[in-house]
Amino acid sequence: MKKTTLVHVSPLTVIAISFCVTGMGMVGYLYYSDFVEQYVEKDGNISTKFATPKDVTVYEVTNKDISPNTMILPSQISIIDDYGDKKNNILSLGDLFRVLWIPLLIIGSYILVHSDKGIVSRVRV
Amino acid sequence: MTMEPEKVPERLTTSINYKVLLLIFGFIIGLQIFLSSISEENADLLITSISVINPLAASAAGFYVAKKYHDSNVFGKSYFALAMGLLCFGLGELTYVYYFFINEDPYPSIADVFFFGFYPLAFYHITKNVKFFKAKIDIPTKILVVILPISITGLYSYLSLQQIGEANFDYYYGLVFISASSIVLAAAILGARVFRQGLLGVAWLVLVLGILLTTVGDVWYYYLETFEQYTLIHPVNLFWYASYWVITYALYKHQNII
Repeated sequence: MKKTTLVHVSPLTVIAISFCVTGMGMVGYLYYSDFVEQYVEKDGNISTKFATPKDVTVYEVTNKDISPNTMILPSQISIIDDYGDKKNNILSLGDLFRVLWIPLLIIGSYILVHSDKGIVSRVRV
Repeated sequence: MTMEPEKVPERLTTSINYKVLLLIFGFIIGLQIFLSSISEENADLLITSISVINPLAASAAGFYVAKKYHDSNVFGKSYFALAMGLLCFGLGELTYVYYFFINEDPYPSIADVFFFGFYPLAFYHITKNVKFFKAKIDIPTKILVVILPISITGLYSYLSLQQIGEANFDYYYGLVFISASSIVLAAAILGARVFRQGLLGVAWLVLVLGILLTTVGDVWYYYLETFEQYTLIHPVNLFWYASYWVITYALYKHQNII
């Protein structure tokens, strides 16, 4: 009698597990974000959360035509446009990757574990 | 009275109890929700205790299994190595917490030496088992096993460099850990494939899931550290907590099967 068994895990189970794991991260992150926001509102000195500078574009306007009658402008006028909000609306490849890498890793690992060819094992236990 | 001989089933079966996995995932999500509802100081204290207790509990389970197999040349030594690796994680957490409470930067610190200790020990655990069963592995499979760590380190590099725009010290420092972690994951997948045809396949599959969760946690953590966004209550911890419990479940499955 052959005392062997085959580990069978259906693809549906793997998708469910990958959703569980990704969901775990996302739910955790949502609660964490709320938590951080609460403390930022309270005393404004929490961690390094907002250390990343916003994306800004600086336009330099120079007044080259200087004559006695013209009003002298300051040599540089900085016009700062905040593109932070606009940037958030576009889903880039990086954003997509940031969201999908965990389920992709789980599904990839599943495929690697369950591919039938390639290994001749002598396992009897 | 005659005794009926016990019938041996034609096919021995064992399966993963998904309720256990759901319980683990449910518990740690509940933990994060709870942490969000208490004060920062209490959350830090609670997370500190859990961070230290979890790997130590998994390590204790590992030593228990190693003791059970102390007569076995393969399982005894390999499970002892895995238990030592988990102990390294526990010691790393203890050292990290020590630095945190004396207000010194715990990253990078001597705690990382302990954290890194897990990878060679886990790798030894896997290769000892795979070598013993003399599995024949073809070249495409070997290539796939090499591609996986490269893909994971590539993913870490892509995300980090996109965020920070340069390869700084934290990036290279994290790269060492990510490389080690992904190599262990690739080896664990190989192990799961070797044992897939046997009864231990279930235990190995659960072990792969545990190591996979560790790798996910590692990639996210070292990515966060490249631009110093990690805090004690960050949800990345959930992946490590889940991994310790899933590895403990794998240990339970293993000692339960043989």
